[in-house]
Amino acid sequence: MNAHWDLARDLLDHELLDVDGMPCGRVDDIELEDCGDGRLRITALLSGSAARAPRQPAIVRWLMHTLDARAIRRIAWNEVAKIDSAMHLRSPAHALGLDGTERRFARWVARLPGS
Amino acid sequence: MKNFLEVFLGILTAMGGDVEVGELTFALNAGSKFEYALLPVVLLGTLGIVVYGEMAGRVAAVAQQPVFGLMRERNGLAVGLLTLICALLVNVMTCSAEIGAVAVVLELAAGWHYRLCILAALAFLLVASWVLPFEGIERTFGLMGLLMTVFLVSAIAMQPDWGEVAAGFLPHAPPVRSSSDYVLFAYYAVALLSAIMLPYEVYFYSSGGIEDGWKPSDIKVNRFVSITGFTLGSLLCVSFILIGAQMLRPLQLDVQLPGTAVLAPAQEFGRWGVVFALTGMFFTFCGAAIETAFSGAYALAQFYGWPWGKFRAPRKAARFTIGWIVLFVLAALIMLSGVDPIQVVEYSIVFSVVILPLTYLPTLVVARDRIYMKQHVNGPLANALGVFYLVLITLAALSAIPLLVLTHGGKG
Repeated sequence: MNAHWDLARDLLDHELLDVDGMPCGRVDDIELEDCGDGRLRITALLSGSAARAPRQPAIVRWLMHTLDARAIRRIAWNEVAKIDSAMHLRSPAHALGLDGTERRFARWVARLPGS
Repeated sequence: MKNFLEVFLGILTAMGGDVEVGELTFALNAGSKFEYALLPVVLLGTLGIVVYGEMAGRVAAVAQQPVFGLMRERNGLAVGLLTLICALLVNVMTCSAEIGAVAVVLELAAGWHYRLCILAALAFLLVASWVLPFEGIERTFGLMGLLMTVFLVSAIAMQPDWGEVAAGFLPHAPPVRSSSDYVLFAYYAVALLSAIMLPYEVYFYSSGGIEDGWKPSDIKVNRFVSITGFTLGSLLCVSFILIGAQMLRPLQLDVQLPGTAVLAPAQEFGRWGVVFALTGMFFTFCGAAIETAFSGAYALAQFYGWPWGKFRAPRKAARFTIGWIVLFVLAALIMLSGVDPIQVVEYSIVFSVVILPLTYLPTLVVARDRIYMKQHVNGPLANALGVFYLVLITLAALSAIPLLVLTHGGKG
């Protein structure tokens, strides 16, 4: 892995793919730690509507506040196995807690025949 | 041999699935009002969609992601969100127009009440989209849409002055009675360009490339299929202009509903002409409705990073599946509310041209980006044409709403 990253270009808003190649969200924010010597280190990737909030226009923030959208999921940096145009993770989505919303909707879809 | 068949089917599918109700309506009216003066716009638009279709397909084959999937990471959250919202609105509008058109065709063919036809169309679209795999959808609606060639044959059978038609392809002044007609001509030029280069086509073609499992080795085939398919599809657009000029212009008829188009095959080939035309229109408009609903669902799922695609079982791409279902239902509800389908067609075309730059710019940006495209990045020709068309559609986008207002909604 690289020693340095252009966070905006290479990490932010890129897709998250679990170990099976399933999309499980996008990088909505990045958690950084101060190393103490003026450098910053990436500690985790953050995904979820609340993680996006600071970058969204005011009206969208208001809408999400009204809908009480507070989801943030934290993916530790050592969970990232490979980076190309997407972040490839070491574990399946459910192990990282990234498939909750998808599974909720899947329960509805599963009721239809042939799903 | 198998490869040849695949390519042949691919071209036929692209050709049969190319026309939608906006293009049909505007082309007929273009011929009726301005004879052959808008034929150059068809040439211009066809080259444009070929250039950008090829780029979008190449992006899918090489970057292994559709164009919209790369939009948010390449252009940022704000631009991505704006593009998403615009794309969803325009897709719902266009899908709605197509469902309305399907309902009109059903009404003509079966004689049922219009609202029942809308519900029947919705039911058919939902079932077909659910049951058929992606390739099945492409093939069925694309190949059955080839029945639309009855319009091409009808146009030829009407024996236009071919010398005049050929001359029509060279840009020339339209036959107008007053100077305000020039504004109407400009409006039609912008609208026809938009109808040929509709945004959802680029999105759908790109996501479709992933659905079909394209790899870099498929680029040459993709290029050939897209060039041939889109070009042959534009032949149909030319046919509608010819029919408008030959049949509707002398009668001073305006196209109120897609049914007016059927007059041509009816006149030339009687009952069988009508059967071919109605069946062709049913499948072509259904195909366009599916493409627009799926384009919206693709855009939504790709923006948020949800699993998507018909290559996944519905419960494995749950939010994507619910996405296209909801889009179909919303589109049908808009039609059920009683709005004039021709009005919806008109507005969907005009608003499509306004967001065309938002669609095409990211496509060009990604296709030029060596990080994503490696050695398959745009060459000088693709770059030159890409920039030319981006400038052209930006001018069209800026003038669309003013022209809509100046022409009182295209009435002159």
